[in-house]
Amino acid sequence: MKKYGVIVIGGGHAGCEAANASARSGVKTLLVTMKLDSIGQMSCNPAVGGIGKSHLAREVDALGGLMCKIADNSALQKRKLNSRKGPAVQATRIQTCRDTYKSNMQKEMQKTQNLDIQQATVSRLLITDNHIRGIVTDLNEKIFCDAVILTAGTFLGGIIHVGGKSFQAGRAGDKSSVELESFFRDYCFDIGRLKTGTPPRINKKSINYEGLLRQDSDIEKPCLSYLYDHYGLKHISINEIPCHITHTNEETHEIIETSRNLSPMYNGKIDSLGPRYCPSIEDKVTRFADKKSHQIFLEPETLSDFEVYPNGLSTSLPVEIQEKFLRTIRGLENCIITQPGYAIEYSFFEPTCLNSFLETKKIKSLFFAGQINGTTGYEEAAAQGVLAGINASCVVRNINMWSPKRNESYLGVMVDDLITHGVTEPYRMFTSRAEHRLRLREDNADERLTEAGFNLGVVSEERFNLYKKKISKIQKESERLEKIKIMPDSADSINLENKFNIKLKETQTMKSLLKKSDIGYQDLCELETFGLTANSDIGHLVAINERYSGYLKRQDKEIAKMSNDGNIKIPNSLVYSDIKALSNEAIEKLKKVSPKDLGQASRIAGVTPAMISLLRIYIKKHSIN
Amino acid sequence: MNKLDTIAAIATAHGHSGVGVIRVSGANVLNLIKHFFIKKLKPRLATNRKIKDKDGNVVDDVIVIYFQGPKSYTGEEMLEIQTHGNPVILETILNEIIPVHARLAKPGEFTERAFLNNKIDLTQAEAVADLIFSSNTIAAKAACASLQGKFSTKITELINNLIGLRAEIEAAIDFPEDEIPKKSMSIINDQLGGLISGTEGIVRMAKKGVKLNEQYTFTVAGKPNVGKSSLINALAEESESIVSDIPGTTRDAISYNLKIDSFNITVIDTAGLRESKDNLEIQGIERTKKAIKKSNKTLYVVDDNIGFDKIDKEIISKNKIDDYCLVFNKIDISKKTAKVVKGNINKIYVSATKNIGLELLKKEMLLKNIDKNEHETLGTARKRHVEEAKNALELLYTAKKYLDNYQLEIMAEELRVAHSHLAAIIGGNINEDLLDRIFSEFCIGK
Repeated sequence: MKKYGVIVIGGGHAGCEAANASARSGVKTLLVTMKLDSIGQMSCNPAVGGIGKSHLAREVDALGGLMCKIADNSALQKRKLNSRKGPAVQATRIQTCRDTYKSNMQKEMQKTQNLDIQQATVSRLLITDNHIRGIVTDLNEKIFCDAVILTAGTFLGGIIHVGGKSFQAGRAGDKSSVELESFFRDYCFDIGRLKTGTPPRINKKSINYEGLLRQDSDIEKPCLSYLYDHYGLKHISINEIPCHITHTNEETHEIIETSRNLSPMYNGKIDSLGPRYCPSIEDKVTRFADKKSHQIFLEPETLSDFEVYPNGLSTSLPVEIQEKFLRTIRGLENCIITQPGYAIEYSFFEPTCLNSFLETKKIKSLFFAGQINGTTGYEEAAAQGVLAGINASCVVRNINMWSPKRNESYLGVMVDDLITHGVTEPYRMFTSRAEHRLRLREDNADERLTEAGFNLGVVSEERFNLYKKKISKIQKESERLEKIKIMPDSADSINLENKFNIKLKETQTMKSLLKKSDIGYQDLCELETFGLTANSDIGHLVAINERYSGYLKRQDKEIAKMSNDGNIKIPNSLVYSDIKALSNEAIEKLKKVSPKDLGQASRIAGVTPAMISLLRIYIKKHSIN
Repeated sequence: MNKLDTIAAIATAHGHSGVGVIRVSGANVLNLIKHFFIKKLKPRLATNRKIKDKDGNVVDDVIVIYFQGPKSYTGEEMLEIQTHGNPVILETILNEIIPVHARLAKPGEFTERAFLNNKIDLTQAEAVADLIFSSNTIAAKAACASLQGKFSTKITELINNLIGLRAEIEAAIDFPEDEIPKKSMSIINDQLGGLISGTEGIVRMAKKGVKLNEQYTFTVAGKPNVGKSSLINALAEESESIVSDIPGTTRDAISYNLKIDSFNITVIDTAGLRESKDNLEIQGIERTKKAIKKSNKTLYVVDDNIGFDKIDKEIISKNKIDDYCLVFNKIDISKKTAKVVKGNINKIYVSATKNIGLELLKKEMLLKNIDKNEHETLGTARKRHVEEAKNALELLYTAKKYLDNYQLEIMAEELRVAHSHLAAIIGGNINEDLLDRIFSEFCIGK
């Protein structure tokens, strides 16, 4: 009898992180995938990071995950976005080689201890008394386990559309997806439909780059992983390949406009919802008709640099129309399509079926992570994967599961949004979703999560020590700057006045000077009283903390207030319909979400403060009865 | 039990009275005592003190009683301030307490705390829940009434502009690689300036509203020609509204300010409630529905000679009239005597034209409505709005400071919190509203 602690179904970004996290914690783990060669595949554009997304990726990294390391080691172009805006909203983005990323991920997975990988198709789950017991493959092999993580991506009912053609997503006639989907339908899971799209790929040789704007890596060459960026380790660097920028024009738009009814999005063939932040070019031309031109990024796909990914041109128009409109675009006049763009419709599980550990409420020890929860993006998937991996391993190790809070991570924001509000369009992270944006930064994901990760057993001791070293350096430098005082009329005070037009009225510490927006750590270094030359990376981090300290204090008060409600757990046995003063609408919503505490309940749309008061009273009465 | 924040509210009925009481409950009570009275107060001892405002002017000579937790109504540290019963004095003192020392209590919150701190028997949970529910319903009505007309239009417009500004800033932060038309700093500065003066206007307007609107509102409704206008005329002892035998004469919802036993009361006369194809009248009917929504109670008038029938039933359920009493009019013709029949829905028998039973009706109007124990009035509802608008205003001022330094993410934080304060006045999900605006206005999609 084959038995594992945790079985992960699926080898995409969620599956890899989930399996790796579970294995890191010391639990015997099995990853089952339909195709070994697809492990770590980047099926959309070959880039990791970006605003909001790099924040999530760094949290994966802070918890010992793989994504950032692998992206850094497969990088073709490295940039820091929003570099001229405040540190809380700066983000790293790595353009990667699709092949290198995949092979690096596969190597990493192969060498992970406690992890086995098997190629098989899962046809059903073994469940007794609503507890997971194992899986059954299509060859009828039974494999037993204590917990299962399902990271099936778009495998459930995927249908690809190109022009008038549509077919099951690359896995036509595949028995398993049908079987597994009907398995979940039998368990009454709420399954919805979403859609997304990709652009056509273009043969690089057929592009004329002359006169196109070229976009290279930033000079600093930022990395995603703390190992390289903050902890001083060296990453493997491969060749750099730049991106280029071109634009659509009125001719392009005219072709799209006249053929719009050939797009399944517009002739009624697809009615599921796509993301508003990633519209197809058909959508852009229609909805923003007054915009005469749209920006297109020509991104390298791989190191061998054969194909190009024209980012911004997602389409499901017929292939010949795709070629026709592409050829109106500057630089693409003679382009040759290597793969046509398409729209894909797929099923997802309404994520209100999950608790904050990403475990299903219906079946104990069954976890869902990634795109099947209605999210989009590698980083979103990976972050859920880590969380599910941690919690599934907690089941096996018989220790308490963990759910990150909204005020400590983007991961916490995402999971709370998903399980509280459900999904109506593919969920992507934006920094504006996080009310604690100034606290949840790229630079401090390790300060927020690495210790928790270490205690949960997914961060190695070696890694934890690197982190502690960094923290102690920050603290020392912060204390040192606190002790240096600058008096009015001192030499430095005059320096400050000359350089920044700041006149000191009273003695100030050097640290407090960092609160001023135009003074950076580098500027302090130039002052006479600064003393020894310190590590400027560390100094930069001290400066960021100081810059936001007033806001973080204000938020601390809010958080303390909120945690009052967060601390009041709602017992499972509470019958909402017993509370006669609740509206029917509120009762329905509360039943569907079954919030774990009053804090989550208060975030449900339509639940008013008065209803929270009523719940509080009933919970109190309940707790005595 | 967790430590909760400190709350305050006026505990006596609004309007002029002999004594007014302000209650404060929560840990901050001790600091508050230190701030206002410097010396400590002995628990449970009525003490005479002077209350001064920020500028050191004496507002009132008051009696204060300090209740040391847990030996208090709520089980927390509590302070009762007894003032002279002038609404202006009460308002002024409350404004000294809020928001520095406490926040305005929610309806029923003192009782809720008493329950949570085991000061009220657990078996009374339902009763406490009922109280909170009913006082919140009244509060919601008051808030709705307070949001009528110009005030509501202004605030909606203001929020709309704030969302517009936020959408631009947030889009610039979250989508730096998309081609979002960049507005110049001076335009953003102007927009922010507009928001600030708009919010200042709201605060001014809302403050004025506190004085104007502290009244109970009754809507008089019923089928055509049952004598609604006659009833109001009789109550007002004046003849302003057209009274005729043609159904549907009164087309506008006209309001009258009446004084009944020194209480100011607003009575709204409505068009007859019936399906009508007449355009003018349809408008009138819409107004009626609105009037019912914002009034504290509806006086539903029935012609006693016809009786309460199916149509009446239908009208009541269709217009969602939930809090009402039935006034059976024209008893001079049906030859009945004036009386009040108590029940789930109270019934009062009167004759408006012959002035019979009106005293009973007035008593009924005052009895049930003026003395609600949580005293959620239009005034308190409006006060909540003022608080939210003031909070938003402070944040907008700071946002402007950060704009001058071009610190976008900090400015965005101030605007976010300001938005949540303004949204608290009229509701709405600030995150969804923002994303909707971003995606409808900007073509995002690298």
